[in-house]
Amino acid sequence: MTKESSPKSAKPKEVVRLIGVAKEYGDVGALAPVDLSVLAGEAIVLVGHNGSGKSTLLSIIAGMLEPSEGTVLVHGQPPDSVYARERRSWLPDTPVLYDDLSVREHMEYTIRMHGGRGDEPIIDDLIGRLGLANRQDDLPSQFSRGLRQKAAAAVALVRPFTLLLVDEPFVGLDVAGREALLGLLEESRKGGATVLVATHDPAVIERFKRGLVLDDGHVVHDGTAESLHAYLSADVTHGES
Amino acid sequence: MTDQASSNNSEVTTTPPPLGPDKGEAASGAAGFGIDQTMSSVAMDEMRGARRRRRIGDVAWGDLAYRVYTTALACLVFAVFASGWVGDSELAAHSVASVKEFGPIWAGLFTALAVLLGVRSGTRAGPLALEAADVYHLLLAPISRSRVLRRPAVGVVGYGIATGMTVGALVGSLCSQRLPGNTFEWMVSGALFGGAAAALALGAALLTASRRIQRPWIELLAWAVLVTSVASVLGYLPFAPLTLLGKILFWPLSFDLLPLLVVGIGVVLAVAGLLTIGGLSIELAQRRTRLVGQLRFAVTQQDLRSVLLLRKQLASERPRNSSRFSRIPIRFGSRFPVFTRDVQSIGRWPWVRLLRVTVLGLGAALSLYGAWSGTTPLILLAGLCTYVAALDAIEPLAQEIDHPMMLGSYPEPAGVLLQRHLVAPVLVMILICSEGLALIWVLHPSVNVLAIGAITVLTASLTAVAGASVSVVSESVVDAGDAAMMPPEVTGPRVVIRTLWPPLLAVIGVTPILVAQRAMRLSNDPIPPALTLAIPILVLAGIVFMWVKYREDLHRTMSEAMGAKT
Repeated sequence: MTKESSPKSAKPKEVVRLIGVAKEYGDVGALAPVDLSVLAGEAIVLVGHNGSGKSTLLSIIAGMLEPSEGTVLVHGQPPDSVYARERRSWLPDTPVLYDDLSVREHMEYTIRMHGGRGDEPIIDDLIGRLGLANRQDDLPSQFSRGLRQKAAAAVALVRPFTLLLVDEPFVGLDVAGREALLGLLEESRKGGATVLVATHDPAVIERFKRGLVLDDGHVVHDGTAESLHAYLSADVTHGES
Repeated sequence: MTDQASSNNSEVTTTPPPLGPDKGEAASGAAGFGIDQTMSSVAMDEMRGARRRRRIGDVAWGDLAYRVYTTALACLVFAVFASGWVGDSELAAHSVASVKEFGPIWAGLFTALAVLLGVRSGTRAGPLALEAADVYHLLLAPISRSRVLRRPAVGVVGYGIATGMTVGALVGSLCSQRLPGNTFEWMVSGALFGGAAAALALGAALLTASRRIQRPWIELLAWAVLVTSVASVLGYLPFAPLTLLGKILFWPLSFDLLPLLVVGIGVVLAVAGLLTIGGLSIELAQRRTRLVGQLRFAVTQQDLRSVLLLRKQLASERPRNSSRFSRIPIRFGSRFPVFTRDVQSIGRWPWVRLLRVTVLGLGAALSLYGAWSGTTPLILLAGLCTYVAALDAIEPLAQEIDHPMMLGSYPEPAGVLLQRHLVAPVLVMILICSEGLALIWVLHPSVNVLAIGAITVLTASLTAVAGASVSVVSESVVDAGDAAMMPPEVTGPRVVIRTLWPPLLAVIGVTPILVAQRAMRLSNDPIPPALTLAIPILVLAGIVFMWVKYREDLHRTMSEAMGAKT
């Protein structure tokens, strides 16, 4: 594993802390013991082949999976604490939406669950930017995979958060949707949120400042986007030789 | 630093952390933090209310009324049938005394079984089965999980207790037909027993799920309670803990206040489960949510294969990563590829499946021993045990059926391959049934036991595999079009026959025991009649195995004949 030293300046707050976190399913190890620290405002991309442990890692931070061993802290609290849930938004790889609520109703409801009124302008803003204006009152059960992904993204982004976890967000999205989502992720980061994105898409890697490579449940590289490019190129070359 | 493992057991409420951000510093999205739990709860209730109203609005009232009518009619028919079956002549005094002595023990056994099922369900985050969207949108929202889960949990417990009370009252009413006492008293005591049994089972399930009690220990405890009840039924123990609850059902025969203690325990368990429900594992809840939905659909489609497969997934019963028989010689493997594939699959059985088929084999043997000793209906239980074990043994064949594209890609006819898949399951079943024979031989070492047992092992193994293969293979036949053309009077019995025929085959396989027992009673040699019956049973199994081979050809020929006619 390669690890770069971080610059010594006024140290931002630690948003995510993993100490020896591992996950096993029966006799199959999905994630080897991982130590990780993510600071406020970081934008991190997780890359790795299928089954490398990206989704498992994100799901553990999201509180959807419980680690077999180790400690997970989100803002210094357990990931299933109300405190962590207030501040963490999670966009899973498979959109999870109610079949009997429209996109707009999902968003209004989600905002209200997070202390809003449900008529905030961000709803219209997100609907417009993700190209859902004509479908905002339709039920997601009638949507294609890409539209469902957009709807799920809108629901995940409409609420307040300081940590955004996104798993394979570009699957099924058209070019416009992909660009819109990338723009929204960038805005979230600029707004001070910490963003962790797992993706197979090499074209988006350069948009992130830090990259982690997972292989067979191990973090084998942790560095800047440039070093990640170099690592991946070397890995590909090594694999071909 | 907070330890994750210890924090998992109870929900952590909002407390300002040492490293976390202050209120109102939301980086993105709407509004800021400082969420009012009451407002979130109100939002959740309003959303649930709106969805409920929408669902009610979407209900086809005509269909609903028809369903209520058919359900009520079915219940009435069942009640009349059960009432007629029980009869109404009062039992003799010695029979009443027997009911008074053994009735509570059997009722306790039933409760112990319910508690075991409850605990097993609890280890898989049961009995709640939430919507996937509820898990994501509500359990991940900054709102107390107890608040989110309490209403559905109360619904499950309330429904369970009401069902228990209704069934208990019906049983009480049936008891009153032949036992001394007032019908009302019997119904009240039956309802109290049913409700308390349901509260115990559901309370145990909720507490196990919410407190995330370690699976082996809590299940061992529940098994221990069940074993004491079984031992009590068999007369090895004078008393089992849940026999006390069973006494309530028979209060009209003997009134005793002590059993109310168990009712109290049931109530405490249910209330404690409801109060601590917020500790439910979101990981298990998510998996349960996904699988239970599919399971319900499979049940409505009478798709036994899918039901079993999903149930195994629900229990996290995964094949081992490495096969116990991975070192099969290549020459053997290339000569018998299907058999080798089956052996490798069986070698991947997890311990829990090995344990299950072992218990089923022993259960079948003990049931046959009971049938031999005079309790003839136990033969049904023995057949069912071998049938369920065979459904496990036939997994390689089922996998082949589950992947028709691969099956169609092999250079041999599908029927031939499917028939070859039957060899390994038959050998496995012979092994499973033989361990049962070994048990009976230990209990009763005699030549007759060995000879009759060997005959039954052979017939039972073959017919159990035959039944399981009929169940698995016939489900792959797409006959929805045919069924749609038939009237309900034809499709109804057809479904019943299709459902009952496979286990019936397995039951037929254990019948040599009955003829042998009859011969013994008449002081004749029991082996010749058992052998005589075994021959047609083996022929029957052979016919089924040939059906597996030629089923598609038969189906095609019949379809062509029908097409030519029309």
